[in-house]
Amino acid sequence: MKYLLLISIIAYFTFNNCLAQTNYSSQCNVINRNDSSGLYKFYLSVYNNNISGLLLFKKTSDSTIRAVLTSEMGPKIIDLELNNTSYKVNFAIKQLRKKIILKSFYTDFASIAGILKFNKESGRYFSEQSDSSKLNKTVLYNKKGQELEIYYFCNNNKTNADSVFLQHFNFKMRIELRKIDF
Amino acid sequence: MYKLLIIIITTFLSINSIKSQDFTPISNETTFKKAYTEKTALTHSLKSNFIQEKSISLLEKKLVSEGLFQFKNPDKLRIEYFKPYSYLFLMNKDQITIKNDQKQTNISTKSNKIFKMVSEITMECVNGNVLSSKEFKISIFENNSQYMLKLIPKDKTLKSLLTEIKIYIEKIDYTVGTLEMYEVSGDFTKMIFKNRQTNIPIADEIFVVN
Repeated sequence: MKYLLLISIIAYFTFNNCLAQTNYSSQCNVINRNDSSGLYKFYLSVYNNNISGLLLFKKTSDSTIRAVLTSEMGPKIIDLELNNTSYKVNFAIKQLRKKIILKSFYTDFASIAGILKFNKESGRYFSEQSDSSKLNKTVLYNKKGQELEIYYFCNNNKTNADSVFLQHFNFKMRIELRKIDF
Repeated sequence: MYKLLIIIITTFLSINSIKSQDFTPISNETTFKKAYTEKTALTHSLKSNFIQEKSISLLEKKLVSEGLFQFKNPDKLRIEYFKPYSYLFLMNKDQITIKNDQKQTNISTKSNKIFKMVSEITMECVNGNVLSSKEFKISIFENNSQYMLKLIPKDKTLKSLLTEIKIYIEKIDYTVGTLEMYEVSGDFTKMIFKNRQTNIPIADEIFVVN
């Protein structure tokens, strides 16, 4: 009976902990709460190929965020409309019009904008760890283990992150964002 | 009241009429082409500060950046952004180097179609060859102080990125004063060139990243 009670207590806390990790609500992300937007210098490295540009986030409704990536010299590279479960492609250059690439951008951008949510059945969930008041780490797990690691450097939790680093574990991809004030 | 209404309507029509008359199709295309080609053929180098304004429908404010543009005939180009971020685009013959802070990428224009087109357009604007470009349908307009070249892309890849490019050339010295790139979505980028200096000495070394 004692063991049954112990197992029940452990099961209760484990279940509640999993629930708490299902929805992601980082205190500091890429959206500035004052003007509902964020502008970053964007660097992407994938299998030794590099892409850079300016990445703009803008909250367009309570549940929708636009993420627009443009080249430094002007023309747009990608324009996505994100919500907590799906995305719409407004524009993407030909080289990026592949489902696997767009889906990866969706996961990355919706994660760091703080709107991505998963069903419990999907086996994917976020776990947040704060090492200090300025550094927040979030890990996205799937059934196989770690999928994505995100580091936020935040000097002030009321505004958006100063820089963000994303490291994928399924494939060799790394994204670095540095805030631009404009 | 009736008179006031007439005045308002007349003023409104006049303003619109002035706007539409701002740039008109060029009266003597052959003379312009000859003069532009001759003038640009004499341009061995060009150095100019620039302000880039990116208009995105999503934002009320424009994204403004500043930098320095340097060109050396026939195939050397350096576009450097200082503010609010650092970015360096170098072209030396068929080799492109991009430097972002400490990260450096080397691209060959032979293997990358988009970069090949971007670099060709930029070069052709400066060296005058843009008028004979087969990549665009070109129309020429003018007003009192400027010529305006309207370039509509013919190439499929470029067409998917840009609907048109407008190049504003100053009548006084035939240098490019402003460049506008319009995207399919309606967003556009404007580059305004200031303090333009032609035929000044520019060292070859600045087109190479160590």
